[in-house]
Amino acid sequence: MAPKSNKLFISSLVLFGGAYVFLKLVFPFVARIIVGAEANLPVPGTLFIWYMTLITIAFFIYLSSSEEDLRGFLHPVLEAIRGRGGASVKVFKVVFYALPFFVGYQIYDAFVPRAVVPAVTRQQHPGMSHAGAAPYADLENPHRAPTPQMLEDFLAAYDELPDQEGVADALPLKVDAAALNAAEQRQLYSAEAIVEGRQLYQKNCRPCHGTGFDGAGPMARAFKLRPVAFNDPGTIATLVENSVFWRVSEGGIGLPAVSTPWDSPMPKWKDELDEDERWKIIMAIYHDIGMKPRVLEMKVE
Amino acid sequence: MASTTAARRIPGLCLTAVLLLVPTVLFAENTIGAEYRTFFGLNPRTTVWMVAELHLLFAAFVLGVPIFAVIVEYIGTRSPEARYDRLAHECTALLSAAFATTAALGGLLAFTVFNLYPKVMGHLAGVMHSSFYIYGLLFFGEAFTLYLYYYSWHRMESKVPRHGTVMRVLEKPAMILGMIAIPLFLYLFFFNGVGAFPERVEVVAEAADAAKEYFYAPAHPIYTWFGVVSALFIIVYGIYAWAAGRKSLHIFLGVLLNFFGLTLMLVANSWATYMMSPTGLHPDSLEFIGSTWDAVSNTLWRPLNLHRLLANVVFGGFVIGAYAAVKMLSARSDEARAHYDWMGYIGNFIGISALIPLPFAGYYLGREVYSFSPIMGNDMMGGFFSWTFVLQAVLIGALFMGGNYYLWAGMDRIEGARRYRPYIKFIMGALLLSFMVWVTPHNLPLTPEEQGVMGGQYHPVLKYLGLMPAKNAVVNFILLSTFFSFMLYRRANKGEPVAFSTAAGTGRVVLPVVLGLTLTLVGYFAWSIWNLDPQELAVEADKSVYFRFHSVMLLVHMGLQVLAVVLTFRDRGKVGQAILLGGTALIVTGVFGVSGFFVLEKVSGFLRDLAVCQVLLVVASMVLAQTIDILLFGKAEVVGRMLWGKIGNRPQYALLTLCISVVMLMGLMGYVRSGLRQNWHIYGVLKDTSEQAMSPVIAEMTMTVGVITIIFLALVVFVFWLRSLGETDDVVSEAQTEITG
Repeated sequence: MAPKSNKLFISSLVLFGGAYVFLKLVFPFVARIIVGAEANLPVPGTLFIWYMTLITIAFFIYLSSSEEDLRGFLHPVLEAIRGRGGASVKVFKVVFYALPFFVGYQIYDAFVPRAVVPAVTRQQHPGMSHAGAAPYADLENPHRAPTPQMLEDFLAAYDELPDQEGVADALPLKVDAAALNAAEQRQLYSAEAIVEGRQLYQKNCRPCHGTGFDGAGPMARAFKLRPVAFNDPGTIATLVENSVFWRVSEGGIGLPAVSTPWDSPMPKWKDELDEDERWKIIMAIYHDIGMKPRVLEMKVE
Repeated sequence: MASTTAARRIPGLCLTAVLLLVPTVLFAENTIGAEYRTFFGLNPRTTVWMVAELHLLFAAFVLGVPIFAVIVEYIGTRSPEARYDRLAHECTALLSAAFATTAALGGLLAFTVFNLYPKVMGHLAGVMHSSFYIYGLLFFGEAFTLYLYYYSWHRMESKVPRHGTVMRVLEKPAMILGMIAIPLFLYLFFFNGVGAFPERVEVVAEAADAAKEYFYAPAHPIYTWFGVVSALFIIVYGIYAWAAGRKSLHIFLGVLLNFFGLTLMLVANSWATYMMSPTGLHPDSLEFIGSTWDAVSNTLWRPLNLHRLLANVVFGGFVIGAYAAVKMLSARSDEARAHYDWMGYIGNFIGISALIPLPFAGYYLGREVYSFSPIMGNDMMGGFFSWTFVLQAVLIGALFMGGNYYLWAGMDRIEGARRYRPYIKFIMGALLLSFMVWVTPHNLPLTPEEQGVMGGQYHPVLKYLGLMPAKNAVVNFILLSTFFSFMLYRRANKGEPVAFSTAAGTGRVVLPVVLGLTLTLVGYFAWSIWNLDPQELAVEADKSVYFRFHSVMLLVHMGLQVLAVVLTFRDRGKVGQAILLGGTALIVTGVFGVSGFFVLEKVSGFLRDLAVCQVLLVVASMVLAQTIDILLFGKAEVVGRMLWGKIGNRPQYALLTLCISVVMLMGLMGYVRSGLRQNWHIYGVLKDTSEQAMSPVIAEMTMTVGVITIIFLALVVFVFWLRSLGETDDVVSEAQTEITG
């Protein structure tokens, strides 16, 4: 039974064109509204090609998965080729005449010399199996679980410390440390470490990574590769703490080759800050954005 | 004339050249004591890679096919139709043809690894030596049972019991022992069996200079008990099968074949996983101080066992499907077309059925990789290997799309199926959207212009699609959509469902029992995450609200399950199914897809539990919806015929595409699994100091996997052709052109 209507062909064409228009025009606009950006946020070229390829394949799969539908889809095309079908013949004549020009333009467009900077794939989370990361592979933040000795030293020096805003998260300002039980002493230790880390962050990290940990500090706009926004749950929340420590310590220059081009201006902080300071900064960032570093599952178990 | 003379000389010249090469090959270099050697000057790593992958592909076929061959044979004994038995026999014939090639490749692999990597193999032999002997002995068992199973097929067709009394007496004990031994087998060797982890290392003495003495605690006694129970099971079942007639004994042979095959796989897996996650080592000196069992029972062994078991079935199903497709395309009679059309359908059905739980097993394996080494885990999902997972998404996409396409196109052969066609475009839309999300990487290749517009390397909106919560949500949506395709296919030629309230029969008992099981499954997990201690995940106490929210959603789903069953009892089963499946999609994809981002941000340790929530709901709803479906439509009026063989050629090419995709997928993931060790032979213990220590770039990897795929398919075609030389046309004579049901 030969299908009579052009409905399937036309609706397929409209849907396909609609998908193209959506990805090309509507989505960038919607994305702009969602994030409140200044300009439309287009779907990146590579991804756009992938999406359109998938959509094209999906159309072919759907249409060819039923003999009847495939015949329905091809009906107006075959009718026009056979010279039947009135208006559609004219449409197809136009299409067939236009086709060589269209293909020709595509070929011209593909070959015409242009000055285009090539696309870049940059590995966001370089693994720690590179030689440069080896010294950091098994490290743990010593300030999360201070040893008895560390605690003792801290308590001995505690009275000398100035009163600090913010230590009062859980405890009153300037408590009598000796009167606290062991758990409270550790809490005090951790609160002090965070306060110290926070101050160091303000001095060293804030200019780029921002007061709100959003990667939008006063210097941020000067860089092509924008500083990481820590409050984005896809960044440091997905990493174990020693990986962050490695990145802070070695900076952009210490990135392994897979993470090239080395356009990250992150300094090599191990030259500027000592180990304790770096750990405390990391601790403060996690604390203040309300996220946890990724924990080794084996440890959880 | 001169050219003719020259042409005559060519064979002679070639022979001379070969003879001259012999001494260079035999006496090329003195490599005694070398750490590495080359394969006639070729890259040793690529050589081992290709031989190992080819061996694995054949092994997957040889281990996967017997699992469903014996199940199909069993179904055949319960069915009046001869086609099941014939299908099982035909699959076994292919097995016997492929078996010798598997063994030959295994031998070649052993020679190449021992010759090219003597130091590595020296270490492995030192650790694993006793398992090598066990492997060799098991191989005899596998070979003997396989040939016995195949060659005795027609001699053992009689279903007449030999000894009625023995059969009746042993039937129940065999069943009970099986019900203990088989789940225990799965638990101990495929999931985290008791005492499986390297935490079993214990300190004997701690001296003042901090030098410690370590030892490994002996294996949990449950393993001994398992040995006793399974031996008893095999003996009792064997005697029962003997008494119950030749056909039963033949099925017992099939079960034994699977037992040998699976055990072989477990042993070989332990070598591969020991190289990734070695155990039994002294924590400080890294010397091996444990027993072979300590090395076998390493962190990744069980998850890999499970993943490979399922993958082998998928692989077997799709290879059988492709075989049937080729046979159907070349069939000359309607009978043969009908038979191979049906065989292709079964191949696809088996492949897709095992493919549905495969992502869960993959998640389990990935999780354990991360557990063993977060560095390895990070390299896998976020680092060097992350792009291979985009390739994986494309290939799995091809499998699901191909499988669904085959089902939809298959509806052309069912009279009355046209009324379900309108649904297909929505399933297609769901699959398309899901795959678009799945292939979206977190970190995109960008031009500097694009980077400028977006103000960084992430698209501010699309970046979310690159994270795990989005991936988990769409994977589950794909599974549900595929399940929906199956449902439509099954009921394509059925009329209105039977009235459950009057015609259900045993269904009135079965349905509540199944509901009880699914409720227990989901309820248990809901209870355990409700009571999850935030401290276990190292988060503050107020974070328990994240656990409890998900627990409540599980309870909501339990309500949907009950509602679906109640509606079924009130003859509104289809509405019940719609509510159940729709609700599941909404919770698993919509709610958990979004809540996953909050979990990622606030309590990332809970993400794995969230993934389990999603899996449980999908599995529970599939089991329940399928049970309702069987009860509603099993006895429903048949309104159209199933015209096997009356189908176009395109679906057959889809079956071929499925086969090629699955071969490439196994090649790709085999590379990822092995490559994760990067510059280690034995991760963290024995470093790769050869010239080939670096990880190959993706282009090199895809080319090698491509070559492996071509060689494998060529070998399969050759081996199946060899098999057809001895073929008597036993397929078509009795086949029916129209097989309903």
